[in-house]
Amino acid sequence: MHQVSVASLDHSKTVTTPILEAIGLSKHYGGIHALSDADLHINPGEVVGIMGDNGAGKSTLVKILSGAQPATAGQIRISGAPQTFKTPTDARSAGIETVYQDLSLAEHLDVLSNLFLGREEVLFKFGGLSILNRRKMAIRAKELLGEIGVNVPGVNDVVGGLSGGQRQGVAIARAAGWGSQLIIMDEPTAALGLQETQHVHDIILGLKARGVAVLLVSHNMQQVLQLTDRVYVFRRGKIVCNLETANSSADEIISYITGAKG
Amino acid sequence: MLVMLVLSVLALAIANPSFRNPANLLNIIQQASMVGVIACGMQLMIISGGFDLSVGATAAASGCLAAYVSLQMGIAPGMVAGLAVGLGVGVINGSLIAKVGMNPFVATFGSQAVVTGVLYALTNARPIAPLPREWRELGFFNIGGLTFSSMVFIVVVVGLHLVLRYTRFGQHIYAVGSNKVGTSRAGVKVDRVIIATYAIGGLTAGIAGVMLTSITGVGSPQAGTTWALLSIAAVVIGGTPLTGGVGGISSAVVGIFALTVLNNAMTLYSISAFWQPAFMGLGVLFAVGYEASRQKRKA
Ligand SMILES: Nc1ncnc2c1ncn2[C@@H]1O[C@H](COP(=O)(O)OP(=O)(O)OP(=O)(O)O)[C@@H](O)[C@H]1O
Ligand SMILES: [Mg+2]
Repeated sequence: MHQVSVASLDHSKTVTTPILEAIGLSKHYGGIHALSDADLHINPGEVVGIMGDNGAGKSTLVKILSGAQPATAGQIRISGAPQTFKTPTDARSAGIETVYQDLSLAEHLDVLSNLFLGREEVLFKFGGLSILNRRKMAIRAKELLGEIGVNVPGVNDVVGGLSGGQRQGVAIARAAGWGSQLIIMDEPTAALGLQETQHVHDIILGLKARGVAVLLVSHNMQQVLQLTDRVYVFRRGKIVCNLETANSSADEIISYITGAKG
Repeated sequence: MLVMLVLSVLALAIANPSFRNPANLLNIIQQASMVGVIACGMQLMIISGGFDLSVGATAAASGCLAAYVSLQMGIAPGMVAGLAVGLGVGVINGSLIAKVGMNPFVATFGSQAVVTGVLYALTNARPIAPLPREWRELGFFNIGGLTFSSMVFIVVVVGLHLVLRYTRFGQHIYAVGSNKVGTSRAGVKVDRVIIATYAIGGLTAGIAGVMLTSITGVGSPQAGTTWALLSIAAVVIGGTPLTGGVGGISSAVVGIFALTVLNNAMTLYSISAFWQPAFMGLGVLFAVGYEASRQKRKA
């Protein structure tokens, strides 16, 4: 298995530097403490789950880690170095890509344009205007969708006309296509049927096999047990536990989610 | 809508010899040119998910400032000043919407009132005339009957079409109109896109104002009061919904020619000038209603 060799490489470096470390992250919306003093880390190539009831603060964490909104307090370190993410572009240049809970696709635009939104290939500049290189983007888009295993009728099809699973695939491909080290996915299978869900699982395992770390927010216990190496459970804005999936169980995780434990 | 436009042009051309007279067809382009230029700018703003109610007032202000400056310094500096006003109002509109977070209706309705108010106060709402002779020379300049303003219209149509179709900025206008939050998360500087879009909208208003001064040979503070709504109507008649994310310059062009042909036909059939706005309104309602029901059937 390839994963094993990647993992053993990491261990040979004696102490692994986490790809991402969050220290004391907090987010207050007025009086609401959506996230309080959260500490977590993700190691290279690790799939880490985040569980917790509705409103527990999961998406809030995702938005902070992806640069979509600032934290009220706390620090983020990428491979050991402190970073401040003012914009999603900052997070992206640090190697973090995000698949948002609402997917954040431009429905009226075609697949290709969505895949390259914000980092279009440019043919040449004319005055202040950048002329798009659609042909180059189309070739790369087809490769990318093939690598990730996303089936869409064509890269020139409008995203609004795709099925839920196909849209999810486009959103994931958009995040996965840039040699990033960490991909955050906020409930990537919430709206999907059985087959599409299985497909997303395959994508996540494929990313892991390529050494990409994944932070997976999910309400699906089966999925978390099957895919993740570790799980953090959130309750009312706080992280209440950090469990090794292999040494834990559904019952234990549920007791943390409901507050019977922790 | 394009089909209906072509059919009505053909019908008119067959039924009415003075309509199919080449001079009249060139005249239609000329008549369409001023609001047509504005409609092209409006098209961009509507694709971005907004619109601009201040374009008429801005055009009037641009035309008047161009006239005023030309009296002091000559026609070329006058034109530059006129265009600068348009650009400036556009940047202010865009900033109110993108930075302050006002909705486009409030922001541009407000700026329309301010621009008109200042313009009336400074000019006492009286025309600025007489102007240097060069203005009228420019207005009458033509190549084979194609006037200066018709040429400007064509240049604006082609230029903005290319921007929308082939540039990254054009792509981002669609993306912002489709999903502002998502586009910003994708790393696009949404504020800049919005400000640039309204700046172009304002600039097209400035161009139209300068065109008006060249055509009439006076600076007219009271001009342009219907232009904002006419240009929005043109875009919608051409098949672009006001919800953003879709459309092309072809919508603005088809729409403005539909309105102009209707206007032209009414004049050819000597319908009273007092009745014309009512027929125009009916035409707009019919065309927009037709588009709306077509969209509904598609959904
Ligand atoms: N923009 C905001 N303004 C005010 N309160 C907010 C905002 N965003 C989130 N909240 C609040 O913060 C808390 C955490 O929300 P968050 O979206 O992080 O929950 P979640 O764990 O992702 O829930 P779900 O499982 O339903 O997606 C909730 O109480 C929510 O109402
Ligand atoms: Mg959430």
